[in-house]
Amino acid sequence: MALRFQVGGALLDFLVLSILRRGDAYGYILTQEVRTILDVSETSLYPALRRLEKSGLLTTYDMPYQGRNRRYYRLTPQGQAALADYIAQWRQLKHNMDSILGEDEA
Amino acid sequence: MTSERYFSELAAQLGRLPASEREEALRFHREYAQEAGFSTYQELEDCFGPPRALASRLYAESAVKASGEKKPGNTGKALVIGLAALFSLPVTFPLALVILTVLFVILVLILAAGFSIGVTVFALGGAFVSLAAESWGYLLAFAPGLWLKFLGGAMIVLAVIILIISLILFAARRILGWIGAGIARIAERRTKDE
Repeated sequence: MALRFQVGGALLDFLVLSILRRGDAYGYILTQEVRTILDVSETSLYPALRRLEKSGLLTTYDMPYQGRNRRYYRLTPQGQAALADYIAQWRQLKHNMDSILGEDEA
Repeated sequence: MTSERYFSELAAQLGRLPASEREEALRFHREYAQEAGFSTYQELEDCFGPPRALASRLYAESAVKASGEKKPGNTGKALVIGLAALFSLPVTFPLALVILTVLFVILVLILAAGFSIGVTVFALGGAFVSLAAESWGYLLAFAPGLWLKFLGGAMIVLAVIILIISLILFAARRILGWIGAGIARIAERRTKDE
């Protein structure tokens, strides 16, 4: 079930980068994966991918598939660095949230 | 109706985007539709919304991006794309009217500010000319001390003029950029609400 948080740019960017860390993916499959976790519309992915590509965190390449091309997205070294940064912030946030919810080691 | 009809309507709606951005957007959504197995207009509309709504999201995104870029000249681009986003929105007429009114008021304010700054710069320009002329007179009269004194005064006034003009240009560019991005954000929010 997808989380019904209002998703701003950063969380979506973080999720996209995290999915791509496990391997390159093309637009459709990436969108489907994102939508299993976050409640975003199918039109939100394209702008996010363009933004990430423009800022140098992703690159694209085309792979032929059944007589047409699939455009794959891949993390750049810059993207990996940004992801590492997101992960550190995420851990901190998770830790703080847990302690507020009383679910820390207690 | 076929999916091709959807894409030709989308392409027509995206006429004011730079060609490369338009092609890229069409390419992505075509690929997506093929992967998802959409073959009718209706399926595409259920997924992405009507071509007009999708187009205004793409415009909004493009304008926000353009105003965030550092190159000069993108300000005007952001403003134009922002306005295009606004007018490509469905059911947006009252909002467009409000924003046009606000834009008009802002324009009047900018003109008024420009006029008062113009008067100031004009007065300073007059001071510069008379100081420079006077220093020239002292130079001809072989009075180097007075010549330097008045020339210095003239240079200071000139520096102030240049400073004011460059500050104004800088501020104007920033403000126009903000207006463009602001409009684009409003347009983007409106499309998301639908």
